[in-house]
Amino acid sequence: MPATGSSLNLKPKAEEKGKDAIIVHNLWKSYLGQPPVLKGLSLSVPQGKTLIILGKSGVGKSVTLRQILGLEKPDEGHIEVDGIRITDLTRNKLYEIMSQFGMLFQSSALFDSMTVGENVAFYLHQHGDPKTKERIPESEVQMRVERALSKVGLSGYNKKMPSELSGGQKRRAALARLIIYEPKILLYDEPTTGLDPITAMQINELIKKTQEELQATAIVVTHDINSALEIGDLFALHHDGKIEHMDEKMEFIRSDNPLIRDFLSNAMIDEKYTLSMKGKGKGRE
Amino acid sequence: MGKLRQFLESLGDYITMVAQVFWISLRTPPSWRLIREELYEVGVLSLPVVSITGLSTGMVLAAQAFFQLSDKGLAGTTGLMVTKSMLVELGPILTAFMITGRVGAAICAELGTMKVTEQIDALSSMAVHPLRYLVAPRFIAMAIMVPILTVFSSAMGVLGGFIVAVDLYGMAPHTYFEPLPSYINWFDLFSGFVKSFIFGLLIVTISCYRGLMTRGGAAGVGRATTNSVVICYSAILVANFLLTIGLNASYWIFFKP
Repeated sequence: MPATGSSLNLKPKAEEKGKDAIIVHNLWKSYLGQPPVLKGLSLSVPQGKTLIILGKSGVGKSVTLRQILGLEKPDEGHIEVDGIRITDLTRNKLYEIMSQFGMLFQSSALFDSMTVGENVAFYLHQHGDPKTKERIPESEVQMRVERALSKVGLSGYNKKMPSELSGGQKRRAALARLIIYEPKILLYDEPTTGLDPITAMQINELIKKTQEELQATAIVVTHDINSALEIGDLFALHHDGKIEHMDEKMEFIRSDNPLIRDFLSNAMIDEKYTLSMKGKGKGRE
Repeated sequence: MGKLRQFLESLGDYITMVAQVFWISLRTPPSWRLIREELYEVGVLSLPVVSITGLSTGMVLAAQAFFQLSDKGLAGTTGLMVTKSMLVELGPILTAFMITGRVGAAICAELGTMKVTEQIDALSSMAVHPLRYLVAPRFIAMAIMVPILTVFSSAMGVLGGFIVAVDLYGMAPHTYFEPLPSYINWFDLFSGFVKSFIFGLLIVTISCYRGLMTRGGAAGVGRATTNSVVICYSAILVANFLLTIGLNASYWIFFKP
């Protein structure tokens, strides 16, 4: 069982590949005067894998992410990250862990009083080098900012304000803000919601590239099934406060579970995946 | 019962936040750069509005005092009346009201907007404590700047009174200042300082708390801002009464000649 006093270093060791990096056990959460949002939710994500949590709007997918990130405490249940039970940690210990987390918010959540460059440099200015925690000279910070921005296709945007960016550019800038400190756990909250199909595809490509480069463990919450199929290894259906079913990608889309069939049949699934579903008579083909 | 429970929970959350901010400000103070920005925002940029408030209040006080007291032969006390009122009562309270409108409302709206657009969650997700990064610099700046602004406002009030009494009503300049050394004492200065310090802390903590608790998009930010201003004004008025009683009682213990 994990101990709260163990190391807070989340870097994956070679022998730990395939071990569960995130374990969520029997999570319950309710808000004042309202019925529970999470009703005993459990899931696990192996090291280096990307879990997609699908589900209708308002079922508590984002709440699940907020619990994993430590922004909210669950009423019951616990969360382990790399063997450390983060739900038992004090606020200060939790902040040590959180420096190795990264989250892409639905609204991008760029700091609107700062330029794009200052947003991307924010982590380095606050914590210094992600590995050594030592202060970095400003010239080095600017070099890393430019490198992160060029990775997401926003070279030369560092002097712009977030209000001058389009929705897709904001999402890219937010992704650059994550890439710069190379977190080992990545959480994505509806990364393509509200974007046109081409921009959504570009964001998916960037997420895939980031996953490959950082070898991070990721959870993506979305109801965009095509984006999910592009970037996910594991799939889970969030229904009525719990994980209804969790499986590998192809097994998930071939599943006979009626709730999954119902969810998939209402989605416009890309042709290359509907072929795998043939014979099940599913998907809007 | 539901409303009472909600109120008590909010009060508990507020007290917890204030205790945390005190603790953070003392143990792990924010960077000087952040504090300096807030000192400028709260102090320097509030000078014009605080000057106008102090000056006009002092002028009105002098005009009323001279007009009301001259036929009773007490016009010579105009300077004393203006100075005493500004130092002990009107300086602290009017400065606090102006700072609530100019700084408190802006703090609440800014933090509220950051809350509803997930920027505060983004700070936490990058292991930056929002209370240390956003609240502590404002807390320290208000604790320092509100008393200084109050002294400035009171001085402007005394100057405004002088202009009206001397230039408008023809009072001899030395008559305006003559009674001050005899009747203005350290207790008056201490009283004004304590009041302004407490008002500053009330304004910043209430505004930050309401900002951080904002929910419900742009409309929620508007509601939170209005709400924080109303709560600040009410808290300042109630605190002023309690502080006046407490300070008057302390006079007989610590300041009695």
